[in-house]
Amino acid sequence: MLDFSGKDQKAQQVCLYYANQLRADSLIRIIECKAPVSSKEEALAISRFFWEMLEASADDRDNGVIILGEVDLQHWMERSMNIISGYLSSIGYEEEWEKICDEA
Amino acid sequence: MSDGKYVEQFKTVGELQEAIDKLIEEHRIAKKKDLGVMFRIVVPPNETTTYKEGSQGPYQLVHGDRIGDYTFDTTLEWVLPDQTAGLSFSKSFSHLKSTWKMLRKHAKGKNQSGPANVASWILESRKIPDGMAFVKDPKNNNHYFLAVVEKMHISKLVTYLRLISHAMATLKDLTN
Repeated sequence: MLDFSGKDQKAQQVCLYYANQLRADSLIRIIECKAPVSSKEEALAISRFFWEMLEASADDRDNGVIILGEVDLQHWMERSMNIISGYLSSIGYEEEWEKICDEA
Repeated sequence: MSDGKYVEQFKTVGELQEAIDKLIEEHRIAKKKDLGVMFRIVVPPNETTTYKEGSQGPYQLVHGDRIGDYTFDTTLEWVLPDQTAGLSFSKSFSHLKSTWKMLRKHAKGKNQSGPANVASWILESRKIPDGMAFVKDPKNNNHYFLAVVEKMHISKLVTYLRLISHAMATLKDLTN
């Protein structure tokens, strides 16, 4: 499952915030670490979610929107990317991550 | 400082991959244990291992180092050992490409996307300074922290990072 333990707990809060904003309801349990990514479709969906979240975060930053007390979420975007892509790679879905990264 | 020490440039992701694959092939030969060559994405005007005031994001700078990249004591004079902090480096092209794309899109906000240069450090040319080490991110096998593993004064870390910067070469991002 995704690992937001230790100093990365805020990355999980950020992902949950954007999952709600982007209406990615089907991914909530995966982001909450209550369910694993268990299909190619879910791997593609969580990859797509990351890049959509990045876009939304960049937009929010330009508009000075404060999210969870911060106006620039760069650090949490980096941690989220490393956690999501690292997890997908470790369970055999590196290709799915790559495909969506190339399209982003 | 080594800012502007561009050895090559790339106009497409394909050109970038070609350059990175060549470096990996030349410097990671048959020694799977060795990192050989490592890569770091740099958003100008920041330099390969230090940041410029105004371009560091929401972090305080101490002699060009960002609070947040390393763990400091309360005086901000001493850097404490922390295996989960340090400048980010990529081991693989795939990780590098994701980081490159992410920083292009986000580091300066949506209205100022790109460019992001790619710096490489061939580890035979300068060994990792004492008190520092590449530590694998436990959550991503292709992401490493250039971590501080022994308590050191900030001036020492700055000196080390500048020395490392001199050993790095940069591929300039000319993609659209």
